[in-house]
Amino acid sequence: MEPFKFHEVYSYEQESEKLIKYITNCSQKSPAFSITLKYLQTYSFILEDNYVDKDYLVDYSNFYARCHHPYDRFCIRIHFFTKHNTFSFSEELLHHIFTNNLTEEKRSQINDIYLGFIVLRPSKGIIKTIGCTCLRHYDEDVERNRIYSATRNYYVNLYGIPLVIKSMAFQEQDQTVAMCSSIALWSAFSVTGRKYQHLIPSPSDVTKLAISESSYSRNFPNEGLTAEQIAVAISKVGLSPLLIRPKDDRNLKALIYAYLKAGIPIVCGLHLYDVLIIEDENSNVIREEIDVNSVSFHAVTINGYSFENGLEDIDFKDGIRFYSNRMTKFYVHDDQLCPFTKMEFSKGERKKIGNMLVKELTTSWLASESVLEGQNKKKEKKIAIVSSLIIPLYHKIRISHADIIKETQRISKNLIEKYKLIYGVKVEKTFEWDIFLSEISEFKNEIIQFPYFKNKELILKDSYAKYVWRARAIANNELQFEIVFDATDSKVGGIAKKYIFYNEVIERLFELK
Amino acid sequence: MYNIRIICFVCTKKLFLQTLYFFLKMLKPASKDELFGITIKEAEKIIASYSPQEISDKVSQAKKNSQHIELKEDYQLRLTDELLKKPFEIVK
Repeated sequence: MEPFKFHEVYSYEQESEKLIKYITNCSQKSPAFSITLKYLQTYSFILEDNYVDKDYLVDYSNFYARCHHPYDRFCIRIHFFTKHNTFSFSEELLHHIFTNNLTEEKRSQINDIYLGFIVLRPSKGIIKTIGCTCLRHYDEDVERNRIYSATRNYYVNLYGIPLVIKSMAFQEQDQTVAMCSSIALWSAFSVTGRKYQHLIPSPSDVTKLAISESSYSRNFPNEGLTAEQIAVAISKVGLSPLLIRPKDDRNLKALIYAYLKAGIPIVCGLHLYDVLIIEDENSNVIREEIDVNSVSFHAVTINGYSFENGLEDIDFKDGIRFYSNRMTKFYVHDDQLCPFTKMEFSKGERKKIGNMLVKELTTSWLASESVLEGQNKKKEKKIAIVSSLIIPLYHKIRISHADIIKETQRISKNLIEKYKLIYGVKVEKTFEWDIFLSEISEFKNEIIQFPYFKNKELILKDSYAKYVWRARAIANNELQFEIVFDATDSKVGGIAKKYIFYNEVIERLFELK
Repeated sequence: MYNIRIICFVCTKKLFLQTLYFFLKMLKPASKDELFGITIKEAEKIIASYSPQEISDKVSQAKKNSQHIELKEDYQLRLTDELLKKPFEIVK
């Protein structure tokens, strides 16, 4: 394979195959990166050599500099561009950049077509490791509620042209200073670092922080962090770790939605299993089974979700319908696949794994082996089960999601009972509750965009805590009222809360003592 | 000429309806006065038909009923020791 030349513009259409092979070395990542770059409508790319990547340089000084093998200090950075109408990043434009004055308009046009970059870190031989990568995510869609909330702006400079990309930093594990867990946490820190103003450690520093309290573990080569060690690293950067085991898919959706809506990334522990497909003699699928022996314990970072084609929650025995149950998929940074990989909730029945009955997630993972010993059996894909969620929280977020659900459940029940007893009407369908964490600035920003409603002025003038839990009651697809809980409070003696009414019938009912 | 008038009429009507729809949509979070089939006027009438004591009794009855039907669901499970101590690994 003839190597790419640096500082030359290549057409993605002509060179995609060679480029994907160059970046991923024909691994599991190849199809994932190929699909992502195609979906982003990549038109051209350019390679930059001798790039100094801060994260790699720290990892280099922590480990690679003291190896006998002469590891390179510098990286390669590949920039990607799409095309808008006739404007593209071409050889002519590159020539124009180097020989003419670049107008403000041209700079803005270049920024508009910029899709992000991939850094390739030096490794042994010709195989490179994917380093810090910031690629544009798929378009957000309000209609389908497809949101990538755990992202931020990254500022890039190419030949003096300032470029901005909204993303979450991604990279691949090097299997020495960082495994999947260190990388998942590094991606999460890249967002929380900006949000909560803490230092963003490099992958090797994340590993060092995580095992700083475990005297029995050695730093490098690292063999994978535990959830406990991840929690230690979160504490060391000044945040509070929240470790949760989701009870079922409904609980999982509620938790992902509640924290992600506030822009907080979630480190997610997964159990990955191969799916065994059993066929008859005519290659028709008889049934699918989960191969329990093929389990791998993997960590990814959740950064977005989608409600596309999601269905309304039904009245469960807990008497509360969650808006979040409409979620059909969520997006993760999986260091062994690619950025913004989709994980979809299965539409089928719950499956039996060991003695558990669980609803699995479909993934882009291919099975470890496709040919099996027995006839009419094959493996093609992997499914996932979420086993743990590790959430890096700002220390002032003290009230948990579970506390808010219990409080909301009580208020909702009381309200429905009042409605039935006073108005004498049987309520067929109770409220759908949209429960999430929010910063007060975002809450007021939303309120200010509403046209006039009663108490709007009072709400905007009122003083609230920095972080609030919002429980919004929806009926007939319309917002009826909401409860704003102080997330920084103590739950002893009841959580401090305020009500906002958008419906007079409800407001009147609340007034009755 | 007649056709142009019809087209103008249709376009104007469509534009008017679109504008009206837009304003109605904009006003969505504002004064809603109906819920589960009861309007605020009907609600006021029903409430006015009760004495203050009757209202107070119904409110306390609702409180009692809601406490009675409240279910204690555990929404936040702790990680088991096995999950806490098990290292994340390279996917096979």
